[in-house]
Amino acid sequence: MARLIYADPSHCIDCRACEVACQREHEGLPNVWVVRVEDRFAVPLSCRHCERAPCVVACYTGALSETEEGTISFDAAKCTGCGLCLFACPFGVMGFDWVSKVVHQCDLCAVRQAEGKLPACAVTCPTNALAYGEYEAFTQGAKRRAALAMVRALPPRPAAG
Amino acid sequence: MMTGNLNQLVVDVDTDKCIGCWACTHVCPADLFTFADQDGRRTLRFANTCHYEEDCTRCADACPEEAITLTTATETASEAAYLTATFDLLDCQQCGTPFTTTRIVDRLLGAIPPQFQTDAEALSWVRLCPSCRQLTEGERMAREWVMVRWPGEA
Amino acid sequence: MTHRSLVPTICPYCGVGCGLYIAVEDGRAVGLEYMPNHPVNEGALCSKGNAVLEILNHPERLRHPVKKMNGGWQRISWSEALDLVSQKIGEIRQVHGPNALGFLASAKCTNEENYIFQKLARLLGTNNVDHCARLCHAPTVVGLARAFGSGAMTNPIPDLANANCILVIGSNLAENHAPVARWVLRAKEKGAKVIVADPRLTPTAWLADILLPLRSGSDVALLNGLMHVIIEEGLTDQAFIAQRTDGYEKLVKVARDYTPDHVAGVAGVSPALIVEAARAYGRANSAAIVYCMGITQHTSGSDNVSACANLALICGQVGRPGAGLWPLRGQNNVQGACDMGALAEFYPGYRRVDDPQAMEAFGRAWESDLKSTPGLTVVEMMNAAAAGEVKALVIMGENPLLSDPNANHVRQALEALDFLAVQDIFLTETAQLADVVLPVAAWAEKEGTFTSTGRRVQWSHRAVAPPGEARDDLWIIGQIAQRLGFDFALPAEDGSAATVLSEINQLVPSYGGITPQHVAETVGGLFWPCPTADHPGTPTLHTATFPTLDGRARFAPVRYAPPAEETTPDYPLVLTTGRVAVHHNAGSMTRRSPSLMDRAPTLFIEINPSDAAQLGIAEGDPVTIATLRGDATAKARVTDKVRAGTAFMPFHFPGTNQLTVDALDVEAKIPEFKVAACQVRPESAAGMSEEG
Repeated sequence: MARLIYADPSHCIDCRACEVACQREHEGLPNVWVVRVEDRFAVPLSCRHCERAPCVVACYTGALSETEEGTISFDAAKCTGCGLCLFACPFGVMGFDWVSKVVHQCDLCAVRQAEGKLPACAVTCPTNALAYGEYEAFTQGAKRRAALAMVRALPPRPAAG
Repeated sequence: MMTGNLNQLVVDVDTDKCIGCWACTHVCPADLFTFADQDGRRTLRFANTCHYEEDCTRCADACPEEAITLTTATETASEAAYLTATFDLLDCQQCGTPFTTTRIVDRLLGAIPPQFQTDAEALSWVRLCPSCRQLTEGERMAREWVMVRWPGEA
Repeated sequence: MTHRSLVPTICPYCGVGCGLYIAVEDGRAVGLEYMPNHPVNEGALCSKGNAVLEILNHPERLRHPVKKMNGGWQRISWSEALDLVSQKIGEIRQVHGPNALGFLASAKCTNEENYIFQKLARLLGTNNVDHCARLCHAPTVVGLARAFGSGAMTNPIPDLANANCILVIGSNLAENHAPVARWVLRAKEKGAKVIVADPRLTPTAWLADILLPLRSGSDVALLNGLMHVIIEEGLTDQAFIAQRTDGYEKLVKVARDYTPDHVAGVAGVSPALIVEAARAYGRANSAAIVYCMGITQHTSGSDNVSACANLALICGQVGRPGAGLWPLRGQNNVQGACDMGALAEFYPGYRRVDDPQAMEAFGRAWESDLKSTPGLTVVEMMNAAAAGEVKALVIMGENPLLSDPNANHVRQALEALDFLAVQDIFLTETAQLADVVLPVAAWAEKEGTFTSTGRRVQWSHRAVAPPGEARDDLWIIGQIAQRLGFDFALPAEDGSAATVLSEINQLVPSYGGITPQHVAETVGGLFWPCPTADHPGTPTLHTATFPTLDGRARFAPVRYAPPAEETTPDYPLVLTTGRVAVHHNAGSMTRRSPSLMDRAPTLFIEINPSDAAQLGIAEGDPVTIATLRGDATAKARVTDKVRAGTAFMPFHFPGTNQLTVDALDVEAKIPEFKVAACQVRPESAAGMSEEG
């Protein structure tokens, strides 16, 4: 089961730490974007490493491919800079480097992982809005938070006595 | 496609096949291909001959639609002539910014994996620019928390 | 293979005091690594902390001492620079007396540097030493000292996770102290209720269960209102009040007047919400109050703090896990600079300069006669400079031209000086007006202790050498002191910080056990008070007694007083100021940091849609904002984050403080940054400008 980055909008405070960290770890090109929703929420978005990803389907050179672990990997050497994957991605989370003319996407901090470290965005997020792990573990946590929040939103019970 | 020493190649772009992507403009080491977006249209400008010294076929190799052919010139031209092809850009349905060519969108629509096309509405993101796609996804994710965080608002 | 070492440092930005490693290869800072075992940030960093390398390695870092020459800068040697500074100080002191000198210490420098800086000032015969705490948490020092005998955060930051109810008032911690949000959310996950009181709908407000959108400056009314309900409904902790406080009856009398209906009229918060919030706080087992500039930056700042303390005391919410007050201090070492006595009225350790016993003790230790009159505070120093009474200023790592209110007046003041010396890492707006600028080491280029807002004294290690000829402030002050006839006995090269810390151990009881060896090896540092070497430090204050004469806390009932400047027909909008997530205070560092500037490049003003419609202003329009002090231009952001009648501007950019008012809190002397009366008009419109 692939370990991916998951975002919890209830914890995101739009601080942009993830963007700055990702940018630093990837030579100035961030792969995560925090989207502010109507001045009431913020959500950090990055590559979802979709199964049967549209970007992989659109890529005719094999620069984007699916790995055995179930993540999307990118080989810049094969990229022609056509930009098709940018517009194939349903979430708009593929970036384009206009200097080297190739795309970039969240690579789950492959360089850091090779050194035994976790993805920078998940480590640096001050509120644990970004988590790195398996889908099951994430949804357990998210379900728990959602359930608790729903209980708290109920009207108060009348005082006893 | 042909190669030879001291190349002069004729560059032919089949503008019916071309979808107006960026590949040739990015891979050509001699900058023979450029594009410019203006007033809702993309203009691809390309030289019809190539004098690049190495045996280079990058443009033809890179084209997703195999629209570029290279043949050895029968007579040497003193300088290249530039040709153009224009393509309509699609306006983002949300913010109105033209973001890619209609032909690219058509090509993409033809190859979207099943889980992303449950119904017509599920494909509406295709006509949004990447920024608006991010916004839409952000809104979708935030929506489930709206009732919790702002119980007074609908 | 090049060897890469990780050097532990403390983030140079805010008072949370996050730990982070600088990765060093061949003497160069090549990367940043997270510190997961740090007890406060657990490896996290905000956007600013993540961008620190952009500052450390910045091309505009000052590298050589320079002096002002014909409107430009001439590079000079260290000996010439230090001779010049010392000579000027000596001269002016001789001719005009020591109180013609002024010293601005630095909330960004180490404890050791601040300690010897204020020592130098006092040995020279003046108490005109102060720093930017005056602009932010001076009311905390005053107000909490009034109540508890000690003016500091009562519990550790992670302890917020133990609260059942957290009242966040006048704090935008989500943007400005991001790791604090981590612990607030931990509390929420355990079921805690969060109340946020703020005139603006900030990301901090997103975390609220109960939102109190009060009018700027109405905090005393609101807090008294909460107390009124709590007293009415019998939610007070009578045992605590009886055993551990004095003066409750007087408080009850004052609180009686602050009915929810009355408070609703003053604060603009509905009576129902006031009752709901009061019940949430009053019923909680452990309740926390987190506050910041929205409470302190008012002419009623000290009273606002007193009101917070009163609320905590009537419910017995002090001195237990999850129960206390969390004033979030801004700079990485503003707590330490205060602890070290870089204040006009306090010696190191908060004994007053006009306390004869304190004078005697320090006089003996420093082998000098000391002056008893409290000195000029930051704004007073500027006023005195403008009036020609203060003739020389030595400014260490501060940027008053950006940070102080009424910037036009500050410029006049600085230009009126006979001599201005500035020590800094960049040529800031203030440094540009100096006669001599001395290049200094940044945080990772020197060692020493920094005290976070949570009273953690932490040792930060030296990772790399400073650029060019830059030296640490400790060396500079030692050199100037020597030329003025004072030997601070600093070792020539390494070990100066440890030497000074050892002196601090002798003279500041709460730092008594925070010795160089002990603190350097403890991740997360030591909480003061730590009086002896074998003392483990004191994470939570006031657990058994309060450091007052009778060991009890004191109620200081306060009444609502409106802000100094009221709106008028010409200046109909309330201008409030504050911060944004990716910038820090005066912006000297963050405005030079590319990844941060990309995300917040310019000055803006938030205007409510109804006000914008009335003024004919659309999103993105350039507008001119004017107050009685001056004007500024900014980009309009039309948003309902601000209530109608109020506008917001961040103070990280030049311009905002042209507008702010320098009316001061009577006791704490803090300016009322949070309320000014302004007018806003589209830039093209004719307004109150001169004839064309």
